[in-house]
Amino acid sequence: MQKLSVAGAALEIVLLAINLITGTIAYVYGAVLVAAALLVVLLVRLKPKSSIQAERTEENIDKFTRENQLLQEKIRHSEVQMQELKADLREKDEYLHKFAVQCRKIAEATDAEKIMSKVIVDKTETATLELTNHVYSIGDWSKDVDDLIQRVFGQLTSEEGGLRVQSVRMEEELRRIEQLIQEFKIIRDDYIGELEMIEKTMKSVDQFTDTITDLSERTNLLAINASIEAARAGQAGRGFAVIAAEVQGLAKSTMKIADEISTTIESSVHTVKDSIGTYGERLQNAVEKLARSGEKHAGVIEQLTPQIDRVSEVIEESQKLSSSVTKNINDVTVHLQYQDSVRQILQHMVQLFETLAQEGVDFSAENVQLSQAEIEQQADEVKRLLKSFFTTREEWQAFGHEIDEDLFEGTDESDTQKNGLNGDITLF
Amino acid sequence: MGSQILCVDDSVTIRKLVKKALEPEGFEIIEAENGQVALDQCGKCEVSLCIVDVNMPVMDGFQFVEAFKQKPEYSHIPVIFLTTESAAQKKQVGKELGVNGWIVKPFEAPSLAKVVKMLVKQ
Repeated sequence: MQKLSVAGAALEIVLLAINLITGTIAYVYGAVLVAAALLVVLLVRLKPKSSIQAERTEENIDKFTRENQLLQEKIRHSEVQMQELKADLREKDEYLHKFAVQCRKIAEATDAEKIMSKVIVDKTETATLELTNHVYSIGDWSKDVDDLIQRVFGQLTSEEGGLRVQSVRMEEELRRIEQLIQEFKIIRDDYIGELEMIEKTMKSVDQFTDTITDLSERTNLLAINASIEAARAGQAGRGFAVIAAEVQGLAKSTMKIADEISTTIESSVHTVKDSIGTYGERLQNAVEKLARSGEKHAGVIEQLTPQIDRVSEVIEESQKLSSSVTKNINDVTVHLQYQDSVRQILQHMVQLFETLAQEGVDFSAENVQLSQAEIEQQADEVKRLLKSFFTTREEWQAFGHEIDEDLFEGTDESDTQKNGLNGDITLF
Repeated sequence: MGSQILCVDDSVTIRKLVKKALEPEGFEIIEAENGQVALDQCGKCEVSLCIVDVNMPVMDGFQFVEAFKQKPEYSHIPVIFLTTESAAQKKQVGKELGVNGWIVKPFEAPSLAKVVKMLVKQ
């Protein structure tokens, strides 16, 4: 009976050992247990030769039984550890699977990133090109305006027929007018002086006519007396009477001529006086008109000079402005080229992520093989996640999605037209 | 019409800026978006100089210059690299390929015009 129990214990130990041997971490314990089982079988097969031997055997059996119990305890402990290790292994497998899934997601996201970076590049490229066109248009307009200013104002200030030349000519004309006025004044004074001299001369001539009239009257009186004396002398004085009558007739004729001369001189004096008044006034008016014209000329020149200076300044400022615009455009075009740098940096980033993502996929594939369904599921999840971030039409279009019009409410065109607005504007 | 300049760059903005920089100087700009298109264009025009980007899809600048310089009819035509690349190592590659100049973007229009005029005269 005892032998049977010992054999049973040995068998149990062997079975446990085999069981443990199949485990991954109980190799050592297994080996020990096998050795112990073999020892028990060996001892059982030995026949007790004496009671001492029997006692020893009993003792040994007890000892082995205790050791067996201890070993069973250890086996149970190892079993617990093994279960823990199995659980740990399962957990690690799950982690590895999750890692593989995540790597696949990253790989899918990298493809999406490539598409999105293309959207960025295309959008910025379009915007930069548009900006470039506008910048050059501004430059062209600036140049056109400058050309126009140079052409129009340049003619005004040119050496031939320009405003400045005209102004100089006007100044010369003004000086000539002033000279003319002075000459006219002299002519007027001379003319009036001459007429006054004529008047004086005529008046002095008139005095001679008075003397002639006086002489004629006295001659007439003498002729009358001579006629009387001739009549008193009778026949002897007849010849003398004829002479006296002739002298009287001469005196009367002289008186008449003197009267006519006096009348003529008086008329001439009136004419001269009128002439002095009329022509003197006309000359005075002409001089005054010339003076006023000269003043106007002077005023125009005075106003024109600063304006001509201003025109020259405008031309200079226009040239400076045009140069400044050209320089600024050059600066702007330099900055516009950073779009190209950004594009390349973005490409480098995409390349980096692509490489890293591929490495992750390759590494995980060495340990975990994802099914096609799982791969497709990750792609769908990435798309779904990405879609939840979309804010622009370009994103929807880039991924070939039908645009969710609920997200992009159309602009109320009547509202924008009414307010004279352009673009996607919503008024609340 | 003035000398023809072949501008090879995948950026339409850069091609436009090159055009705007050189057209006022009397040059005619032929555009190509990569090296392969540029090689095709070469047969259709009489190029006096090439302005080439380094990083381009399909055929990059180095590959284009290598193929371009191998053709005896083009080997004498000056080539300038216009690129964001500024590493000495890359420049050395360009030099060994026989290019005449290396301009790092961003470029200034008057400077580019000067370099082009200088090389086209030669």
